[in-house]
Amino acid sequence: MDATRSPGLASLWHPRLIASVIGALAAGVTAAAVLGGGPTWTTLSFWLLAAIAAGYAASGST
Amino acid sequence: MLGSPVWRGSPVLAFCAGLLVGGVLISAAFLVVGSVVRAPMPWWLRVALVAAWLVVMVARELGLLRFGLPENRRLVPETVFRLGRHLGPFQFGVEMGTGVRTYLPTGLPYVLVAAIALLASPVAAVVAGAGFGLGRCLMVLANLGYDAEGGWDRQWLAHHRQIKVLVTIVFVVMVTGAVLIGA
Repeated sequence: MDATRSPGLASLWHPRLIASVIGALAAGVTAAAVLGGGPTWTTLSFWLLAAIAAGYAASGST
Repeated sequence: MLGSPVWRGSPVLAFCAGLLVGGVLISAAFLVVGSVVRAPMPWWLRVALVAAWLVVMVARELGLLRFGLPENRRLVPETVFRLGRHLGPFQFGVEMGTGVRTYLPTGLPYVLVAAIALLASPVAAVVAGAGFGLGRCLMVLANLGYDAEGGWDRQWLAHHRQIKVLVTIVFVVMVTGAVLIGA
């Protein structure tokens, strides 16, 4: 949270990388559902990631 | 806004806690309203309505359709911080977490609330509300972690199209999965 942050660490917060991580998590949850994961947890994971995606998109830039 | 000294340390956590609370509150409100609306409707009709709305909003996200949506076209005033170092950001977070306090630059939350109102279980509604707050919190944490010169905002604008498409795809797949598996 200060101006001396490492450029390497800062790149982990890149908006496109965060979107990619959300996408990777979604792919993982989808794979778990296809492979027969517990319906309750997979359903809740789907809801959670859909909402995270909506919230992230809703935030945009300040 | 994020250049303000209030965005250092624990106030950020208070803000994120507020975002989660706000998300859960608005989700619960839509669930209550939806429980009345959905009562006389068969499951297939509720799914069809959400699916149709999803198609319309995805077309809007991709720029194929252009129309306005109800939103509070106001910036959040700095006076929200009058309650102090933690309570102020918390209140600000609650207001932002509801999604009705200021601008909404995407249509995805409008589909989410329809899905919550017409299809979600109470537990799913709470999870979705918290997820919405978490998604908004990500932007704040990322913005503060990236740099102190507004670099994150510039990167967002530079890659906005790609991010929007990716997030929209994730949203469509996740909502579809939640509805199909939860059926």
